[in-house]
Amino acid sequence: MRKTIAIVMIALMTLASVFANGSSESAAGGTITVGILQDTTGATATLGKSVQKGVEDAIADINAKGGINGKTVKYIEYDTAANVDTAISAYIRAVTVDQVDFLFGPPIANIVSGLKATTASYGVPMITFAVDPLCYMDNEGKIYEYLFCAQPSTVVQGQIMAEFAMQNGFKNFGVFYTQDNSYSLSLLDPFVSTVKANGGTIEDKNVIGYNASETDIKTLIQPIIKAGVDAIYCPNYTAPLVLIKKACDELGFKGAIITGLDGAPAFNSQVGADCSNVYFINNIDIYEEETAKAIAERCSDVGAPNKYFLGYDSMQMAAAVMAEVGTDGKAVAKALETAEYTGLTGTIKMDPASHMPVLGTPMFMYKYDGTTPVMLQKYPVEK
Amino acid sequence: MSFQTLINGISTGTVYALIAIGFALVFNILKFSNFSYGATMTASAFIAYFLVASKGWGLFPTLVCSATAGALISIIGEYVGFRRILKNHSPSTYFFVSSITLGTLYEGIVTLKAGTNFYVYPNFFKESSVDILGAVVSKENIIMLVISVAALVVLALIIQKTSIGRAIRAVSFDRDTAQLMGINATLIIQVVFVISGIFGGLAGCFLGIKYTLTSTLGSLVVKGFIASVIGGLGSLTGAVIGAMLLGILEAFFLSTIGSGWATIASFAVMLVFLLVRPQGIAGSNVQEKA
Repeated sequence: MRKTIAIVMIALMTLASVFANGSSESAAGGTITVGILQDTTGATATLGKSVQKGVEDAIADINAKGGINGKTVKYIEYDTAANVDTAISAYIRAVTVDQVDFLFGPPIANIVSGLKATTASYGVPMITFAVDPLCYMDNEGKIYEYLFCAQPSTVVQGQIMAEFAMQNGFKNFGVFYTQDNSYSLSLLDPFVSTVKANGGTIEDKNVIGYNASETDIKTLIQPIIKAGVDAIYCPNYTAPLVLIKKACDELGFKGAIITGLDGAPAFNSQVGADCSNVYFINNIDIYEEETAKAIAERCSDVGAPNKYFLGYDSMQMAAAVMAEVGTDGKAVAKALETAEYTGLTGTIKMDPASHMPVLGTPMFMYKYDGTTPVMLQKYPVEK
Repeated sequence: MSFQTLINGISTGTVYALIAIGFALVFNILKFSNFSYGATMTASAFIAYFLVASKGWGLFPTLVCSATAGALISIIGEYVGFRRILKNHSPSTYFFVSSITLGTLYEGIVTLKAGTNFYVYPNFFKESSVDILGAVVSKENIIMLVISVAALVVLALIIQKTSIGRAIRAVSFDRDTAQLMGINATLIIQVVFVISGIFGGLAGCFLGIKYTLTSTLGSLVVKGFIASVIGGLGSLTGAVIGAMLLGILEAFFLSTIGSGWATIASFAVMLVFLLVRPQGIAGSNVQEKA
């Protein structure tokens, strides 16, 4: 019996290796495989699905123009389910079983932080959209070779939001952030230090961190509102932002609420009420002619158009790099360090020291008029 | 503690009370904790959201829909998950396993239909809040408080003053003897599941309005469970008192020691309380099946 089992096992393994060899031969014969590892279920699915669609549309456009150096690009979707363990399993499957040449990782800092160490072992470059700089470095501050980000870091975004707030007459701030979320945490210091450097006031008692599982926002935020601040800086995800906005309205807060990327639409429709006191940062100017046209034609059905655009541009940038250096992971990673690509989100120029875009990649500050977003300022400010 | 914090705590405690009552009712009759209750709340709230609230039909139709959905889901759950176990006098662990399985099933169905995104109930009132003695109270919270109190009073009247209520009390005290006295225990159990489902539907809808609607909304059921244990498992009055205490305690700790520590402090106080008085506030000393 044991002998029979052994023979069957050997036969199966031989078959498996034949099929495995077959697929790698096929890859070498004219296809480039891209893995799209996104949060397509879970609390941040709207963002992940938007990135996914952007990457897929870019692949369709690339293939329509003959692929990369004549090779057709195919993609495989993976879901992180907004969970680090699931993300790591999916990543390992992508690079070992499916042998992808390139990966697009999620826009969520907690997930990328969990993934970052794993990326060092497999030599497959991955562009993600998590904006916390710590996502791309180890505990000693060394940058992970194969991990990149395609949008400005939280340091840049925090500074822009602070500068904008000060320029618009807000002087005295409260801060209400999620203390167990690395995205929120990483946006804290850049904002606070920039406000203080520009003569603004943020009293320690008005800086309140809370755990994401907390639901009684009203009790938590009321000391900041009682302190009579001009504005509350809330670098949080969309779902808590909706609760924060509701709590502020109920408590009669008349000042401004300054949010990060998550205050962009569809936040306004989820609040379903006047959002005129909400300011937010975004990667795109939705009223710029070409961008507006692209939204209407390509992604009017996605939840987060800015993430769609980032996904699209990143795939185009990766394609340009692979067209130049081929698909060897090390060569692609090396070339990505200094890559520059001008696309729907402006010019993305990578910084080899941080693996994130250099200062100068465009960002835009908005506020709502009722529930309609109004673009107020482009950064860096054009002289 | 400021008056505002007290109001916030009562507002939270009111919703916990609805959850706790649903737990306590079923425990009273079947002597087990129905862990499918959280998913029943979630499913009811989602049904009300998609069928009524998203079409702009207002708060009361939404509540009625959620309560009706809760009752239907609960009665189906009783038939599918517990009836045979009860009739076969199966080991008590089966109730526990069945309730967990039902809950997972409901949550899976909700996730399939609604995805794992969050949804927000529309604003039911133009003016969001009113001033009461210097404390800001949202109109939604006031309505929730009024409806919750009304539901609890109606339930108390039914339990104490009607023949159905007497039958529920009899079955909860001793099901076999009640049956010998001519009470249709199966029917009474169904009635209890319907009432529990109505409370679950209301609680789910209120939680969705108060927070946001997600497929994991039912995880808040643990707060109702804790409240019902503090109140004395099986005691309806105790469940309400326990829920209020938990809500106020949480708000107090949030406003004094902040998030993170507040949860630890609340549970520490509860543990100490149960060490001192393990039978809970109401003093019921009922042994759970599982």
